[in-house]
Amino acid sequence: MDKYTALINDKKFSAFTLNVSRYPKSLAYWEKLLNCIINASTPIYKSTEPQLLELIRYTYSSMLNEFPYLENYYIDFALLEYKLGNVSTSHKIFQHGLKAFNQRSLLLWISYLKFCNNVVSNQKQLFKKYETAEEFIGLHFFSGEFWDLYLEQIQLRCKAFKRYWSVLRKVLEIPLHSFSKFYALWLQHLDGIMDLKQLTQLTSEDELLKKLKIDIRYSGRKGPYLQEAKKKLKKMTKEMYMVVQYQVLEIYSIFESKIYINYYTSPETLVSSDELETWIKYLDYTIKLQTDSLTHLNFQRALLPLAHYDIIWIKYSQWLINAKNDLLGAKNVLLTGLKFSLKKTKIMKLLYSIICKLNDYELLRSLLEKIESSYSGNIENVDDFEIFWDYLQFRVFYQNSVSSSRYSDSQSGGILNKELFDKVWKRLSCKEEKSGQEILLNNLIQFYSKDTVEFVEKNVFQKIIASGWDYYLQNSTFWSCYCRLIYFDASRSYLEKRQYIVKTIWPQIDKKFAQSVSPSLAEFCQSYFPEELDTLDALFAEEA
Amino acid sequence: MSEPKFTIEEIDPRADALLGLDSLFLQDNTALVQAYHGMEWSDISSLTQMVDTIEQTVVKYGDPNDSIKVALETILWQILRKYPLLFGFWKRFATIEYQLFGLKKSIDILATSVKWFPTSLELWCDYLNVLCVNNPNERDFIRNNFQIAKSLIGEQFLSHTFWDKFIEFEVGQENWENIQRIYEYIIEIPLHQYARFFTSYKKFLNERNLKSTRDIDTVLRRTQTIVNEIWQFESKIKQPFFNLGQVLNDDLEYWLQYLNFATDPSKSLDKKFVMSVFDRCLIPYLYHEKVWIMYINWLNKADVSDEMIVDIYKRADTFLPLDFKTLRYDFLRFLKRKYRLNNVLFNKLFNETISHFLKLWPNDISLMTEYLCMWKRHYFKNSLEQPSKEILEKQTSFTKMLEMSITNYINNQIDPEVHLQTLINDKNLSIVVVDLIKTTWLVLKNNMQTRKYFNLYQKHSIIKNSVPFWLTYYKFEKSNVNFTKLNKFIKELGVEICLPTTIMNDILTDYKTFYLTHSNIVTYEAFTIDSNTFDPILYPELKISNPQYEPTVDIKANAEWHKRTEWKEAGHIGIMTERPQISNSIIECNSRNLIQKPIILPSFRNLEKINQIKINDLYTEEFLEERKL
Repeated sequence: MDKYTALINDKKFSAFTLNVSRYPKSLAYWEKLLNCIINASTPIYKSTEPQLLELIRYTYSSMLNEFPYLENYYIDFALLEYKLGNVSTSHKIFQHGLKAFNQRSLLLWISYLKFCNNVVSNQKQLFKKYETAEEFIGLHFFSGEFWDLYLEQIQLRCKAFKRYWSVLRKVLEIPLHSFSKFYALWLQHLDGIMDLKQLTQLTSEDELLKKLKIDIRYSGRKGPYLQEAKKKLKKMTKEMYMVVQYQVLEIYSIFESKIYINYYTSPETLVSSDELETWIKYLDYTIKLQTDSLTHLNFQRALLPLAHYDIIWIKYSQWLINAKNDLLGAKNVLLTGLKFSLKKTKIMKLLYSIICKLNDYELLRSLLEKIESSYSGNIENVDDFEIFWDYLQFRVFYQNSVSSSRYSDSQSGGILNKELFDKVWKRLSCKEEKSGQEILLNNLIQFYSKDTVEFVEKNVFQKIIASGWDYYLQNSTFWSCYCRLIYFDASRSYLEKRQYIVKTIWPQIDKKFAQSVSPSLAEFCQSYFPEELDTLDALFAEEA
Repeated sequence: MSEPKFTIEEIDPRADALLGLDSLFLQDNTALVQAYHGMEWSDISSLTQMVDTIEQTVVKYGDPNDSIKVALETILWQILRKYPLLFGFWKRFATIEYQLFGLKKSIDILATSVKWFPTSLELWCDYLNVLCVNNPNERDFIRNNFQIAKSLIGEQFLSHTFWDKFIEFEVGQENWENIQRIYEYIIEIPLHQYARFFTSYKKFLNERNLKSTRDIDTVLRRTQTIVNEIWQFESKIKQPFFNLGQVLNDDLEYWLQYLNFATDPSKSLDKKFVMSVFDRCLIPYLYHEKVWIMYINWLNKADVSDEMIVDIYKRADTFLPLDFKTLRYDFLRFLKRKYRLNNVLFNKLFNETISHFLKLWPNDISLMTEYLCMWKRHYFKNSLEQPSKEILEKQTSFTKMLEMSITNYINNQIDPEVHLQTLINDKNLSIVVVDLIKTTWLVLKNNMQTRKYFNLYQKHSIIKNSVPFWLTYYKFEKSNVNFTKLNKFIKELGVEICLPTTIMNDILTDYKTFYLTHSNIVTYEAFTIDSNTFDPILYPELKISNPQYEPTVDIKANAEWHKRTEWKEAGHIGIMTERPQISNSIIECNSRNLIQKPIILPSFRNLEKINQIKINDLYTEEFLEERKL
């Protein structure tokens, strides 16, 4: 029996496969399955059964599809392919992984570059990769390792020293965890300078003359002059060191020292609120530094441990809107966030608004449809009222627009559209089983035209009264909403309104609910016609 | 004997009792001066020391001159006016008055003491004792006082001393009929020494050969049962007297259990007895609103007169610290509820109470709301049964009165004859304005005039940041579905119009909903086409909890960024630092470009301030720590 057959006949394997298909969001099951397959296949060579290799590849890519933030598994996967001699596949896997992070994964870049050091012989191509990495993760607080690699390769591959000086000079300015190491390197190289002319590799002749009063064309005794010049340069280095040290200490003591998880965990892992808080403050701080590439990078960093929390996604998109006026970027961030975040309500809320602002009503429509269909057409049954409520508002907005252009009958538009009103009514008829009923009522009475008031009175208030639903009949909000609906009807005169409320609405209240209903009715009465307080008192006094 | 002519209450409790005293006297009595000026009003030992010093001064001088006498009296009166429940101080005051002025004034002090502390058993006993000893001939006056005391403290568990005195007095008068009446009364009260009174009553009946109208033994058994039941509470109470400072929590717990027991309807205890338990509890727990509220709730159920309840409310109001609002608001609700039964009386009480509360809490705008409601209800009474013309006339005159009051207030010409005008202040003016606007808009249905009012009053600095005003404005424009005005309002929120953030958040959330449900894409696009930064859907969303929100396009273009507070406070809000910086940083420059031309040398900002900034250097600490290992 070959290894593959043995594996698929293994009871453990089938149990693990079953778990994974049942609970695809559970990372632990995936890891068990992968380990099981790899253990069964070890040692893995080029000559390993192709079916097994396929299985491994398939498992890796499914797993990464399910959890796109698993940095380590991209690396494992890519290195496996490398081991099997598939260099171009390795490249693809690394690049695929980097794409998942918008190129902003320090871990992936370092592994990728180490891999490239071995397989890319074209110097230009290799440095291009380094330059791309630099662009995306060069300012990472822990990017010292990357810079080490970069400098090492420059030393290895370049004869001219200019590139080395330039890169090192840039690193000196970055607040890095391992900043002092680079200063040591710099000073060491400075000491190694034997000729005044070499100083032009650090900066321009002009700068040296103007700022440090070093004339590289000095014609006197060069030895002592060079020593003097080095002293000046060291003084400048020290000053730079002090500034960067200050920045590093600030970042480290306020934020980095309080962050413990720098990797992706899983949807089931909770992150401590302290750490979440630290990240939020860190991001605020980063935003204020006004270094955009660092801001992007730190948002991406925060998303690694906090991908399943909505707050970072929202903060990221808000920054893009507020500081960068980048609505498209914000939209994309939220769309990705929607996949990761466990709570989606707030992301949806913001997303709807952004889409409107982008005037992308086609996307709005398809998003609304998607939401609707994800509740199998019964979004009114969702427990989270806000999801239903936001959906409804944007549906109404959309409907208003469609109907005003297509139909001349204004009645069919907006909230009075039959399909939408049905949803509202179904929600209301859930009574105490669903939340948000009072908010719904409060908003239903915010229509002031004669037709709408009549419609709402007949199809909401009268219908509820006729249905005899105690949940509403004993609810003071219900009655005060009813009164306000009438009172703000612009088409009635003051006396008509007052008469109607006092003589028609109030008598419909069951006296047994006097206690729960009277406080808010009294409040209504007090604000709009205190003259009737006696009537109201008398109405309920009989019972008391 | 008539009511005492002199009362201590006539003394003016002036700010400095020692003012105007002979400087020589003050020099000789530094202890007195120091005790008075250093008096800690919340510290009972400091107050006690003050009285000690006064006593010493009295001993020292025997018969000092009048101004000194008045000064000493004033100090004592100041203390007792503030803390009338310090019965020991009343007793010492009486003694001091005796030494300074003689017997009559001393008795007057005791008479005053039971007026200010009417539920004090000790003070009543002292007072009655002094009366019996010193004025034995004033029979009716004394008996009258015994009767008053009986109704106030006669039901108290430990009131046997009082009853002994009462019986002794009547024995002295040989008024056997009264004595029997007293005994008949006592035997029903659950007293600590109930048994002794039964025995002496029986003895009395035997000696006098009289008969009780009832079966005494049955009464005895009933009283005995109650006494046994209440003993479990009475026996636990450690501090039945008033004191300053911390109260005993255990005691309060027992009292509350006791009160729950006493007010339990199934026990059907005598109303007067229950009241005496409340009265006694309110001596140590005078400042506990909870107990007062319990008392009032019980009274409301116990079918007592409204006057009595009003009286308790007023007493509670005199004693409770000013930050207790629950009971005082409850009083207003009570008056509003009762208004229907006696318009004139309760309107008067209501107005008095509002005036009084407004003095206590001038910033509380809800009082004005309450007042206007009652004002309209009482003075502009109208009913649907009346002809429409009359109703509308009332509304118009109401509006006119409001407008006049507002104008007068703004012009600083209030008419003291109009009660409303005396109540308006800077805080609650907006409430009156809102009422005027609401009536004009919703009752008189005059939209033109309504808008005029909005325009007129929003300019006024007192109104500018008023929540009710702007909420009304928002509602008004919503009802007109006037998006232009509404958008302007939303935009000005937090910038021109400053309301509390929670209120603004509610408005922003509501407006987004309102806009979505009342507008459509065509309207939306037509509006946003010429407004880059503001839009009625996304903008309110982003402004929530961020009232100063302003869509900023690339602040960095601003070279002065490092001078802004946000930058200086980054990472530590509230603490500004001049953080050092490389002003020509190259970190955002890719090495691909850097190698193209020479790099300029760094220049620095705030480098010289680096040592002034202190930062907790965790980094080095940890590094050194690692090195050690």
